Amino acid sequence: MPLLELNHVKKAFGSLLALDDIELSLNKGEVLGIVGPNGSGKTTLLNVISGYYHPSDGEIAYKGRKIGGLRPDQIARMGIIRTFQQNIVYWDTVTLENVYRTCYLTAKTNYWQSFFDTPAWVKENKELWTKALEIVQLFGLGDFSFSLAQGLPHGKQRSLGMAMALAADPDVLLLDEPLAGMDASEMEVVLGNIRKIIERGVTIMLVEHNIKTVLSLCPRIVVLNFGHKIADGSGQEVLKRQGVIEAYLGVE
Amino acid sequence: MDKAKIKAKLPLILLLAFIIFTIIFPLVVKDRFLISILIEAGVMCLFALGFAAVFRSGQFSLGQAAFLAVGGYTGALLASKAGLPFWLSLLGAGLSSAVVAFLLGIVILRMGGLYFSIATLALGEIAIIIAKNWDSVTSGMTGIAVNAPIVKIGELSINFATTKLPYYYIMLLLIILAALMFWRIDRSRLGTVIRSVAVAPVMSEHVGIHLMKYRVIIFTLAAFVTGIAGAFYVYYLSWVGPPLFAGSQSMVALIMCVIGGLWSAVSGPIIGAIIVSYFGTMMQIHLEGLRPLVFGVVVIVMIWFMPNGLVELQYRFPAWVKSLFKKKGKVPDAAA
Repeated sequence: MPLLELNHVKKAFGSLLALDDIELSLNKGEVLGIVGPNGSGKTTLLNVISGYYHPSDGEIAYKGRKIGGLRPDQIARMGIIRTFQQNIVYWDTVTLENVYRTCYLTAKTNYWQSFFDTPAWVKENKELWTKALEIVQLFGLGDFSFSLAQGLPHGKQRSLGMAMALAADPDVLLLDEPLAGMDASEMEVVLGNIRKIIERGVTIMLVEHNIKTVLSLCPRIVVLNFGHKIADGSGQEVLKRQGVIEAYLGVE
Repeated sequence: MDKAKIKAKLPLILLLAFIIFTIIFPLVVKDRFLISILIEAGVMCLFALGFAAVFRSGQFSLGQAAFLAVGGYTGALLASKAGLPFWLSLLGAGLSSAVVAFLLGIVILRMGGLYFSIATLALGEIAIIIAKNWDSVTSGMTGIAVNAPIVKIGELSINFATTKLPYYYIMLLLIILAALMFWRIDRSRLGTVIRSVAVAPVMSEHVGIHLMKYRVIIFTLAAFVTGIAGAFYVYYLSWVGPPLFAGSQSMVALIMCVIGGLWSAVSGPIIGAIIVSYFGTMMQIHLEGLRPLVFGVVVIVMIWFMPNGLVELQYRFPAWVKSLFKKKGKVPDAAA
């Protein structure tokens, strides 16, 4: 049984169909790339899965449970975590605490224990900080641990966004254009980071413009155009399809 | 003990010294006028603490005075109509205020941002209109008279009508309890979650934090404290009426927090409340009418030069003292 399954999912904004009848399944441990021209519905797809938008029609199932229409925090708690196209960080604090804050999902002690500073909380708090530090170092942000997240360069903020998502212990990670607006060296770093996440056995759905990177990372690719799924299959095979060539290069 | 340990304990020692100072103060300084200013400052302390708590959850409430009113009227009704003892009517006032905040919160907190501010602004005005017109309960502009409580502790009975001192100490106790609560919340897991919600709501939502839950929790908690402050105020004045809770009171809480420190959970609001209450009363006596103007200028100057309020001085002051003792013209070694 697939981990995540979309059945005839539609999303309409007024009369505009951003997603039309999308059928998609994602297996455990898979790395799926979603490509498509601007406005093809890639980000809308992510928003619908993560609960930011509710699907207008159709059903989304995760581990056999229907999640269409649930709130983003409910979906996140089930193990689907996303990153954002923009750099969203907690601007009031440093890099390490940014990651620490998203570790909360995994904490087991309740608020009362923390309010009264019980030994159980003190112990778990230490573990959370350790975990945050590990993840910060994993993503090569160790030197920036104690600098304000808001002041980090663009590339580092993208990495931080991914670190924060990973800190929330995802089963499925939805990456929304992790390479947007980067130079070549920054791109290398982020690609390395994505590979590290893959090594951890996290199922990944990667939305990206840059076809080259998607080909190098994802064994399976889905192509969207005007809200329709026009291809689904292994990298090279998909690129040869007539519809895909037309979507990207136009019709002769 | 070595120096580092003493330095780490310094804030705690200073805090204890300050609390002892506030306990001894009215016994030494027998200025009744000053004590009455301090008691009103105490009410504003609780009020400002509530405002700051809501602000720190990312919501800008301009109608906190409404909860002062709910608490005040409930306290007055519980005391005069139901004849409940002092402590119980304070608690009842806090609870009723919290219930109102909870029910309103689950509706208006959905709006968030500036829309929430506008809704709360209206809320403050609606509270006044209800207080003025619901004659059967609030007695309109005449208000309700409340008898000074007589608290019996064993054999000892204290009549609050003869002396203001008990009010002072009860207020002190309430502030310490409220400050302790908000301080612990700020330092605990809940505080971190609330900061996350305030700073980046969309991000927080997508890592599993239910925004509404935490917004409602803190709004309710703030209203609880504010309600107690309202009931206390009413007891202290022995009267409750619409003028006490004018919408401008909510703005006063804002001014207090800006002057004290908007981003600190406890110290900023308390410092701001004491300063604004004291100078506010003084200005009312000496330069009547100019008060709003002076506060306006002060707030602008504060935002310009010290956006984090007076609590910023704790970092600026030591640096300034150090710079005085350093020799002039000595350039720090760049290579070091």
